[in-house]
Amino acid sequence: MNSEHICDISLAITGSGGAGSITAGELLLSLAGKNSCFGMMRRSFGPQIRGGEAAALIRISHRAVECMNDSFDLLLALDWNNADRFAEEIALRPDSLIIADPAAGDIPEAFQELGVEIIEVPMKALAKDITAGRPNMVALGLLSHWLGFCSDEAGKLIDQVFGRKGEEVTGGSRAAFTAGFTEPLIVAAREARPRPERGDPGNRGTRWHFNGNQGCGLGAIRGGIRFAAAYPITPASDLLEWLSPRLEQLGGSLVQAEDELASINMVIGASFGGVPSMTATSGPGLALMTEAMGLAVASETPAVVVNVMRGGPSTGIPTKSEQVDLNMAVYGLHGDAPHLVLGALDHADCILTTEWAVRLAEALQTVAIVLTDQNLAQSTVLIPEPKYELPEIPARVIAQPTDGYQRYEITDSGVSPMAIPGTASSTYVADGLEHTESGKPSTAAADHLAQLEKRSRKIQSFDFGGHWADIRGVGQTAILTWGSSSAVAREAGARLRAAGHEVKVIALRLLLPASPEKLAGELENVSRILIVEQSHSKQFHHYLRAFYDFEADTRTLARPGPLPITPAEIVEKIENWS
Amino acid sequence: MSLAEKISDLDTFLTYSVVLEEEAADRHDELADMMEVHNNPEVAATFRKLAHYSRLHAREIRDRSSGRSLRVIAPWDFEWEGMEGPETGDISDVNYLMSTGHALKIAMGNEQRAHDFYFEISKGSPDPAVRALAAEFAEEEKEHLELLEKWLEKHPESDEDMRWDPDPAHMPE
Amino acid sequence: MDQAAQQIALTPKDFKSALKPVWCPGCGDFAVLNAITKALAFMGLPREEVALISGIGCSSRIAAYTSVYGFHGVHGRALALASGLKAARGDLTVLVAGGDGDGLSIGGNHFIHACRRNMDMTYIIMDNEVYGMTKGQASPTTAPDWADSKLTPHGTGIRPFQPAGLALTAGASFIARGFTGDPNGLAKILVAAIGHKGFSFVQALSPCPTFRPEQMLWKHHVKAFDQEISSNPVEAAQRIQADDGMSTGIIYQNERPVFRPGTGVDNGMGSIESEFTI
Repeated sequence: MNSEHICDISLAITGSGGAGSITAGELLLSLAGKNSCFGMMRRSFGPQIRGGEAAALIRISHRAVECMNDSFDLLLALDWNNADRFAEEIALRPDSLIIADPAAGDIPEAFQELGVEIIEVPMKALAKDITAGRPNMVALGLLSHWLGFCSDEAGKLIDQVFGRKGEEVTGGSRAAFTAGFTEPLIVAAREARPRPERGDPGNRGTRWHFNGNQGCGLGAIRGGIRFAAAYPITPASDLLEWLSPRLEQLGGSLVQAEDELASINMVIGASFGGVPSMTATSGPGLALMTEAMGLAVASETPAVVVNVMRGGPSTGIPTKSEQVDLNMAVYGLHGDAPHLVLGALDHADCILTTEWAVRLAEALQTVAIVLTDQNLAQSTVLIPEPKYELPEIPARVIAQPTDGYQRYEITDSGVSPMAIPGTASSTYVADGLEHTESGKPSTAAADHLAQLEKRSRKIQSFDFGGHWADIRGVGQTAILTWGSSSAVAREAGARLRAAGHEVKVIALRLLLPASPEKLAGELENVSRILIVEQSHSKQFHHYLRAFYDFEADTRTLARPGPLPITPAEIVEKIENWS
Repeated sequence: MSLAEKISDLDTFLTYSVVLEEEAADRHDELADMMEVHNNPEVAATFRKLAHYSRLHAREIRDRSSGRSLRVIAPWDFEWEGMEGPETGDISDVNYLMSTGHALKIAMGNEQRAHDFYFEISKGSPDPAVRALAAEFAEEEKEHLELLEKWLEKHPESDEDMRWDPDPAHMPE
Repeated sequence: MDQAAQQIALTPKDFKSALKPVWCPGCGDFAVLNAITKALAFMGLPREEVALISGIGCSSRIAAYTSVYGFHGVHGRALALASGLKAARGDLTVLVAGGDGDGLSIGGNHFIHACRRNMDMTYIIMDNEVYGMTKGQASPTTAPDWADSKLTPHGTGIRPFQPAGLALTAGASFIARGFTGDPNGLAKILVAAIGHKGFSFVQALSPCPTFRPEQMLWKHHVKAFDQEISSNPVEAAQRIQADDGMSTGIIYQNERPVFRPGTGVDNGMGSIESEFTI
């Protein structure tokens, strides 16, 4: 490991349902925040709704991290029930460490192969001696000691989290934590290993703790969303659940629809009523929504759809990530339907991108699809407070009462003032049929052309500014990527730079409309391009080939989910370029 | 109690008469619009003309009502013998291939019913003023009928056209 | 004249747009348009406070023929679009209109859920038991032995939906049936339907002169229900089942809680952003 990663630990906590591995993981991440660290946590589950095996996959670092690392330094198993399911997700190295309970039986072969050092701690037995003590709190103590966390902070956190459950539970949890924290086997093992450097004291600023779905939700309400329609689908449901009470707090509302066909149409109806509106879904749901998105484009009704990608096609792998709805988002609408597609690059960017998408959809009176994925949506990060500035974007242009009002008036910008129901003298009928400027249905070639050009012009002539991409570094080698692969590529870029390579990482945030001139400018002195994506059919590569020209030596690193792409894979590809 | 007996004052009678004529005019216009859209300009012109006459008659009645207060009656509270006013043609009786002669026959039916409506009142209303005015209106409707009859003589087309359609329906959406 | 007086003075014609319908001469849908405009004029509603939402099909063209706000959306989704509008804009009077195919086949799921949700809106199905815009195919209300469609040359062989019964089972709180041969009677039903607090469903029997010319005889079969409006679903179900589908009038009305999402009170971002900090 290079010096940049010396205080960067990845660990996994596994256990079957009821063992509390996820709770322990969440508390550990919170503790990391209270100990001047940053971090990230993913959850992985078996197929059972309750009682199944679960794994908390955590990375804790003294610098801000935006993706998981290549492998794990430590695996703590509360038990081994079905834990081998996670073997490919929890990649260990020969120098990794396993902490296991001897009462849990033999360590699965998948974890033994590398000859990893094993420390056996009787977590169950230790917890049993404590009233209301739980093995997962013992584990939290063990790991907190391992990470050098402050035990006082842990006590406070336990009181805060379990306070409502009464004194017996908090007392038991504290005692179990202490039993783990002071467990001699761990103290000795810790002493025997090099201690990570303590944190940079400059990192004591406010930390934000959220998952990508919450980030999108916050971006949405910051952008002005006040109505949402919802049909549950993994992994987008938590975003909709997050929005429901908060929209209500803001004087808006969320309606649970009967299906995705209804939810997108409800969004269009509410937006027609003048209220910025959205829905969230995942691949199969997006497929159901594409017809109505064509309606929103044709009727010029602003609508925002956050699509949280998961493994596909069909039900696919609903709980795992894959960047595979790009084709559908870009090409899935019927007819010539200019619209916006944006991809959030990391957790903080979920906020920015969703807010931007809402403002753009409102200003341009069209559909904006925001693509995130399960990896962003359902992993939690602990990062510095995200700060960003969006360019000035005009609000939806509202028509004043006018005689002879023409809803689809041809204007220079392509944007026509929209009358909101309730406005006298400007009643009109929004139509998915091709229409004249007044909205009257028309099959005339001239009307079709004029409206097609107007709808295209409003997007093509709009100045999207500098947010079209996130660009880090300079060099003749470029890594070109999008979505949640961006954070991985950035980390790979940092490692490559540390190893003496000059690398530029370009992550496209605005996918539609494409920005060929801007990208060409960025690639001017680039001789090697690596396109990175999590898709078996290389959807992003094909998208780039459709909209952009490349003169450089261009290669791809594309593979499907469910396993996330790692920084090491990218580093290797660049280092072994020949 | 018959409708004629219920129409016992001039205001009620004038209200019925105005609505009868205005609804007839609106329906004739509506039928003319249908024919225009369906490329039957001749029949469209016929219905348009009929709308014009109904409207003239309505205006005449409105003029005669000036200074009086017409009643406000909801459309469904008129006690017409049929579903709509007697001079209002039935939408379901038309066809886009219909001839002028057919349109005129429909119009004659409307005028006949209007005549009968006024005639009944001219016999049955308890108010002599209503009876007198109704008799006058009935007479006018009779004149309309005679005019239509003459008009019809110029249009001996049969309705065979509308039973034989060489063009099948098509799919607009 | 002040504004209020002007609004009261609106006539049915003021609720029509300048567009001439593309419906075939003789189509019952003209009468639905007339009934709607008569009802709105009678109720004295300002045009800008009414929205008429429709889907796709002959009858769904109706939105463009009125002078209120309208949305002519995609096939089968009018109720969903209208539900979003009503949720966001509870102040508007929302009407939804469309055909039997739009509402009961492709939009069937939205129909039962709209009945169940009981938002304050009025839904008119202009029922001619046929798809007109696509040249006369059987719809979910077509009799099983109607064999005049090339798509189902032996008839569908499937019993049709009974729209009123379906609405009752799904929870509509107002159910009526009207006939386009009696546009004034239909207008009266619509006034009651629009005035009803909750989801009101009106089936308008609307003959198709082009694909179902035999329906032009409906005017000889339609009759009024001879009973009062029922507020008892069991009684209403019996009435619907015992009927041949040709009786008109308000069948059922029973007020129940109206679905109104949100409070409309904006309490500000408050603690939302601080939930993210640790």
